[in-house]
Amino acid sequence: MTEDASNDRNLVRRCLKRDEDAWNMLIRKHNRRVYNLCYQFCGSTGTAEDLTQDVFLKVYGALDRYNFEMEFPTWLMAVARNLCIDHYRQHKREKVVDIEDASHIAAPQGGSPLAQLERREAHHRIHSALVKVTEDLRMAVVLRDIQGYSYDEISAITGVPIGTVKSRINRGRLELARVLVGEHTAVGKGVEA
Amino acid sequence: MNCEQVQELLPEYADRQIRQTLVGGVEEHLHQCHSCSNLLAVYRENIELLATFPLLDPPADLGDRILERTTRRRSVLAYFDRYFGIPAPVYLSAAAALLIALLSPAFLKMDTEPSRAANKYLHRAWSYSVRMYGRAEGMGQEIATFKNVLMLILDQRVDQIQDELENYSTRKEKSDQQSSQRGIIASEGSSLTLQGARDHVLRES
Ligand SMILES: [Zn+2]
Repeated sequence: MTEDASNDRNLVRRCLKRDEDAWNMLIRKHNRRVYNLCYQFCGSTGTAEDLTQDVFLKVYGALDRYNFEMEFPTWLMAVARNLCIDHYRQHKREKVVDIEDASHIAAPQGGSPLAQLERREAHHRIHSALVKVTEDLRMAVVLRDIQGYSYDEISAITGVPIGTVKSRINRGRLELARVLVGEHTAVGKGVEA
Repeated sequence: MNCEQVQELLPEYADRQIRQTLVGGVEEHLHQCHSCSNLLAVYRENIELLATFPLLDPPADLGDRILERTTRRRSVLAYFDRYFGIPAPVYLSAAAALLIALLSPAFLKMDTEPSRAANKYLHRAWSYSVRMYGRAEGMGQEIATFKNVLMLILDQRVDQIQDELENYSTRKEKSDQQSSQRGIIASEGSSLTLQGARDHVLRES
């Protein structure tokens, strides 16, 4: 167990003894991670804010049921993943609005201003395509390719076996590429070569 | 191989996880098919773009808002606990019981020595609340009664408050009996009900 993980566990133990400072520390330490997962999955900063609050509310109410075998961030991300997917399923019938480009509020990446602008546009384009990918596949791609979690960790977060995780990542990446090249509706209808 | 077959194999091909026997067929198709080779290029570019996806800073006050939403109720309780050294439920239930006592028709009709009666009520309500705090399961009824009485006052149906309080006393006695049968509370606890307190004050006045 890493020092960081045992620190998280100690904070949870203190929370269970009604130590508000410990809970505050857990919020400060992890809210950025949760917020970004929600934003990456749903493409709206407003929704990400709401979902992040909901995630912490839910976790706070369930702290006494925390399984100390599990890493705290893994549990947090599992709750976030569930709430994101539930939220998406509840709202997917609503008219799809363009995803919000919030990359201007992120720290600027290297390169010339023009290169930065191009990069921002590329990220915006890929994000717009990503939110059209089937939710379970999208979540797998977000967790693996953006957040950088290992297959094992994604398996723990999503509660599915590693084989399913691999297949979701592959199918998600493929679906994303197809959305981007505009072939999403024409799967398998290419000319036989 | 056709486009569909090749595209289904692209993730494994890009990851070099594909079976060696399939590599030749995939590559042959990619050489001839522009749309599949384009898809592979986009596929590879995506992984690089996703890896550099910018991390956003949440709004500066998001942490505060979360803290507020999760601990708002407890903060009030912690405040009492910290500054008065007395657990907040005692205060809350005392306030509820006191309000019920003060607003009960018996009290409102009293015209002799109201201050003495009020003191009795205060005392009774207080000790009642302290005792009540010792029994967590009592709280639900107190709160429900408090809420109902408030609603009756707001609706100006003061005449029904007596009924509400009697209902409450009956329920309370019943649950006290059940509790003592289960040996949860001491027998002396059950005599100290609000009804008892009110009868006591009525006799005194
Ligand atoms: Zn092809």
